[in-house]
Formats: sequence, structure tokens, C-alpha cells
Amino acid sequence: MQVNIRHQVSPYFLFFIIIGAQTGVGILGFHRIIAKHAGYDAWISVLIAGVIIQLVMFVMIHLLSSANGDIVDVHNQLYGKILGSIMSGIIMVYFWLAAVSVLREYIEIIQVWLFPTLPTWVMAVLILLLCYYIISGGFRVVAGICFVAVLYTFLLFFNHFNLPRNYIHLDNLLPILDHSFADLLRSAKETSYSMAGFEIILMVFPFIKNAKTSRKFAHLGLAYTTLFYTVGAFTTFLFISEKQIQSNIWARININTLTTFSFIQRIEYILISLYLIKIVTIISLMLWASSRGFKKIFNKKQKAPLLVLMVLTLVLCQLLDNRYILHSFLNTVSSISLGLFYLYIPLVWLVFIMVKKKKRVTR
Amino acid sequence: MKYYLLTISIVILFVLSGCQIVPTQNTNEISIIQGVGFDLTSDEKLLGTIVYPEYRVDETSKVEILKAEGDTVQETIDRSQNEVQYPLVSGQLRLVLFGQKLAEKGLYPIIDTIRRTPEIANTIQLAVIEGEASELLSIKKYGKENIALYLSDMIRQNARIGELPTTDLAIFSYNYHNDGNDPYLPLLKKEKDKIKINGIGLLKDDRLITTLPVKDVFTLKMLIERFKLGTHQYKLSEDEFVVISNIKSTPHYEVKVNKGIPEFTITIKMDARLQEYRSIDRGPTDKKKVKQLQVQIKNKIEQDAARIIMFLQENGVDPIGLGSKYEAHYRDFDLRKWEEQYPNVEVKVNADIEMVHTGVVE
Repeated sequence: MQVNIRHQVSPYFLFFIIIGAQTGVGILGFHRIIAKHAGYDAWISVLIAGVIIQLVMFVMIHLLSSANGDIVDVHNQLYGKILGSIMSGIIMVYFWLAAVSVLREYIEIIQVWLFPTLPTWVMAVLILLLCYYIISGGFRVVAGICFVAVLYTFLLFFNHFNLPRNYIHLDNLLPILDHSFADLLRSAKETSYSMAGFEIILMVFPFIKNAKTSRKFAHLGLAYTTLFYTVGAFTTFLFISEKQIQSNIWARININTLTTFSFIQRIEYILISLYLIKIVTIISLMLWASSRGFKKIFNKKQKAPLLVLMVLTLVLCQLLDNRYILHSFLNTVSSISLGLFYLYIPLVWLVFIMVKKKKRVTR
Repeated sequence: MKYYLLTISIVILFVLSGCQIVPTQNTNEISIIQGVGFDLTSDEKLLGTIVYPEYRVDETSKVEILKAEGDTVQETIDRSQNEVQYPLVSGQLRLVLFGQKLAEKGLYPIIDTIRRTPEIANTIQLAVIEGEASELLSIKKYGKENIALYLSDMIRQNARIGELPTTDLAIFSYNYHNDGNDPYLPLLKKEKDKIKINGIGLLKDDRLITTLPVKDVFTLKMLIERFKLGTHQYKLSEDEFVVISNIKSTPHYEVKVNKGIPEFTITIKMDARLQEYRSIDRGPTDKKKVKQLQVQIKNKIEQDAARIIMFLQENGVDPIGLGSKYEAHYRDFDLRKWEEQYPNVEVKVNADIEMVHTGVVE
């Protein structure tokens, strides 16, 4: 089920796609969530989570290359047409929910920090129009946007090393490993929402040239995001005390308010505005994946499911109208991702490998 | 298809910008709050004093002062809002002052409001006033000067090159929230019609406990933070004075735990320059003399620091953050137990001062 070579991208794009999909709104506020259990040892949890996602990525790529297609093909080969379509549908719905969660969370940040009176739908319509424009250009355009977004994450990465002397306290991190291993694992679990996004490989895989031999780019991408989040957590913990961080919803933005220039006092406004490019990337990728999946399931043109998804996104964004609903929604999405990609996919992989072996033996 | 989409986008952009979805504010049609002061009135209400500049076309700008009472911060602002031509906005706030009575009762509700507001930067200056903040902000002399900017610059420059420890909202809220740290704020005082820094206000949680006079502030700064610049005078005997200029000063903390009781050794490493020396004998400040001065200053710093730490322990405040050093060192740290231990904990101070040079003459 290979894709026409005209629509494929070079292998190294996998690096940008993985990073583009993974680094989202989580960067600004995942610190307090991961610090809930493991306190300020949580940066170690990020490293643990980094190792786990490398394993999951290995499993995913192995599964996809042995099926020689995307997750829809895997499901169809494993379950047959009808049950396979239902299972693929669930994953496509997850991609859509992920897109909605990122969009709504970003709009919330804008509403809290920049424009309190901005209606949700205005921002949603503007961002979705941009995403539609990108997705209608095909996968190669989406991959190109990922490249631009990753350039922005490099900027954000260096932003972590802005450590004004009067505000940092190395004591915060000491004593290291003050928490039990179970706590560290619990915190590692909490990173799943921030780390989510790499599952895009399930749909992207056939679009990569020589995908089977170029898995190193996917692993490199994951390594980069792990480093990014670890450094992010580590440096943020230097600024804010352990009790204070629980009250800071977006710790990273708070830290950026410490930086001022004579020509611009509030650098965080620029940071938030520039964030649009990251958000657009994730939403484009997720909606592209979702609509591509539905296209294959229903055998329609991609435009039809895409438009439906966009309208549904708009509706759902409007329904998530306060912080608490949004929060429980984010939690739901992250537990779905946990269940689907850390439990279900490895299970599918095991079954798939066994079935394949059996087939080979019987043949 | 794509042109069609582009057209829609452009049309939507124009329509939306015409819709006034986000209310706009023109810079010349807002009252920019630059400083606020809060006091406690006799009936336990907040008295807010707002400082904002009023720009006129044909005059130089004038600073307006508004006062209003209320139970919450926002109410005082809303009551002031009723008196002004243009809406009050807080994005350029630089200074928040607290009257002594309010500081003794607790600052947290106000700090919390400030932190909650996204427009307000994390680097604004806070200060405690000996007396009333409203009285201090309405001194006539500073009417043209813009008192809010004046005071925030005054605190900032004194922290940067003077004796005052660095303080702002971010540092305050760190110290407030962190276990084993207590916040401290500069203490301002009105004297005739001048305003001056009159020491450091020491807080426990969010309540002002006691104050440290100006002469001890430099030593406290040496104990708290790493810094450059700043001068201080030491009186060696009745008519012998020496002033050193700090080049670089760093405190090092060492914690030893002996049967559950911590012992602290603070080593202040300081490179200094001889700034001024005054005594009856007008001999040269040669190597021997400088060595001798060095020992005398070292003893003086150690005595001062020991006295200040004793004072802090007696009052149960910990601006140095000994508790947090202990917590970083000791895994079984218990905050409640530490607070009981703190007044009796042994703290040794070593000053390791090195006269790097003596200026251009010897």
C-alpha cells in the first residue's frame, strides 16, 4: 500500500515531523503537572518517559514496516475490513481530539494573557482556516510547516538558558532523588500529554521515503524533545519554589516575564504570539492524519472528512468554555493517548508479529 | 480553490477587525497606573493610593494621586476609576508600597492579586513604608517628578550598586512560598519632605515582624546574595575608620547535621578595594598596614554578621534562607521541627576578605 513517490518526503523530514508534533502547549505549563508527584525530581521522570517513548516508537515502526503501510492497513490486515475500520476510527478520533485540545488550550492562553474578551470561535476560525490552507496543499506542505516550527523550537530551547543570577536557586533541586521510584514513574506518566504527538508516525510512515531504513530520524526527534523537556523542567525548577509552582499554571511564561529589554518590556507577549506557528503545525498534522484515516476508511476524497472535522473542531472548542471543563477534557485526551499508544499498540504489535509468523509457518 | 480560500480569509479579517471583538485602547486615552500604595484604615479597610501621570498637549506631564477605600484591591481601583477621565490600566505598574500597619497584618491577599493579574510584570518593586503609604506618595515635592518611577528607580539602583539586597515581586514570592525562606522588603521612610531607604523590613510568611537598620543592611546583603559593587564603612576604633569597596562578594554555606541538629558555617568570600581610610596617624597604607586592616575588617564583619544572625534568630525570621539550605542538604527535613530549632541553631560566620588593591596610591 505504498504512497506515490510524488507525495513522499525525504527521510530526514521525519525528525522535524516528530518534533513538530510533540512540542506543543505543554512546554509552557507541564512543569507543575509533573512536579505533583515527584516534586523537583520530576526532570528525571522526563528522562524516564523519554526512554519509554523510544521503546514505543521502536514498536510502532516495527509494526508499520512489517505491515508495509499505516495503522489503517495494520488494522485491516489484522481484523478485516469492518472491525479494522472501527478500530482505526477510534485512533482517528483521538487525533482529532488531540488537535482540539491543543487549539483550545492555546486559545485559553491567549484569553488569559492577551485578550480576555476574545471569543473562542474567532481565534478558532482564523487558525482553522490557516490549517485548512496548509492541509489542502498536501502532506509535503504540512511537512514543510513542521520544519519552520522546529526552527522556532530551537529558539525556545535557547530561551531556557536565560538564567538571571538573582532569580535562580540551585538549592531547589537538592537533594536529588528524594522521591521513591514509584513517584518518579507516576510523574513520568503525567508527562504523557506533553510528550504525546509522536504517534503521528502511525499515519505519516508511508509518506517517508525509505522509511524502513530511516527510523533513526524518528528516534533522534524523540531524543531532541526529551532533551528539550528535561532542560525545560530543570531550568524552570531553578526559578520557582516547589510550593509556588503548583499555583503557576504557565510557569514558563511567568519566567519569561523576568526578561525585559529597553525596546520591549513584555517579551512573553511575543513568545505567546509566535507560538501560533507551533499550534498551527500540530493542528495541521493531527487533522491531516485524522482526515487521511477517515478518507481511507470511508473511501472518500480527503476534503470531505477534513471539512467535517474542522466544523466539529469549531463546535467542540466552543463547548469547552471554562477552565475546569477544558482541564478534564485534557486529562481525558491524555489518558486516551496513554491507553492507545502505550498499551494497545504494543499489544497489536505482539499479535501482529505472532500472526505473521504463523502465516509464514503454515505457508 | 486556494484563491477562493484566501479571499474568504481576507474578508473575515476585515469584517472581524471592524467588529470590535477585542476592545481597543488608545495610548493617549488611558490612565497608566505607575505606582500604588496600600494602607490599613482604622476600620480595617484598605486605603489604596494610585499614582498615574497625566499627559497634556501643551503642558509638561503632571502626576495625579487618587485615594479610595475598599475591602479588596480591585474595589479601591474601581472607586478611583469613578473619578478619572480615562480608564485606569495596570500594565505599566512599577511600584507597590505597603503601609506598616497593613504589613503587620499580612500582605498576601494583595500580592496574590498582583500575581494573578497577567498584565503586571514579575519585576515590579515592592516596599514597606514606615508610616502610611498614602502620606508618602502624596508628598508635594515629587509632584512633577513622578514619584512612582522615582522610587522604583531608587530601590533598583540601590540594589544594583548600593547596600540593599535585590528585591522584587519574583524574589518576594519565591521567598514567601519556599520552605525555609522568609521574605524581606526595603523599608522606606518619609523624613520631612524627603523619602529615604531606612533599612530592611523582615517578614515572617506575609507579616512584617521587625526591621533592620540601614547600617546592618550591607552585612545582610553579604549573607544573602552574590553581588558586585557596594561600599561600607567600618569603625575600627574611636577615631579610625575604613571604607571598603566591594569588588565581588559570595556567601558559601556549609551544613553539618549532628544528631538531628543542624550547624551552619557561612563563609563570606569577598574581594575588596580600600576606598577610604581615616585615622590620626597618617602613615602609608602599605602591605603591613593593609594586612592589619584586613584582619580588623574580617573580625568586624564576623561580629556584625553574628550579631545580625542572633537578632534574626531572636525574631524567628530567616531572610538568609538557612532553612532552605538545610532542606537541600538533609533528606529528613521537617519544616515544623526546623522552625522550633531555628532560634537555637548554631551559625558560625567566617569572613574571608581579601584586599585586592588600595586604589592608585599606597
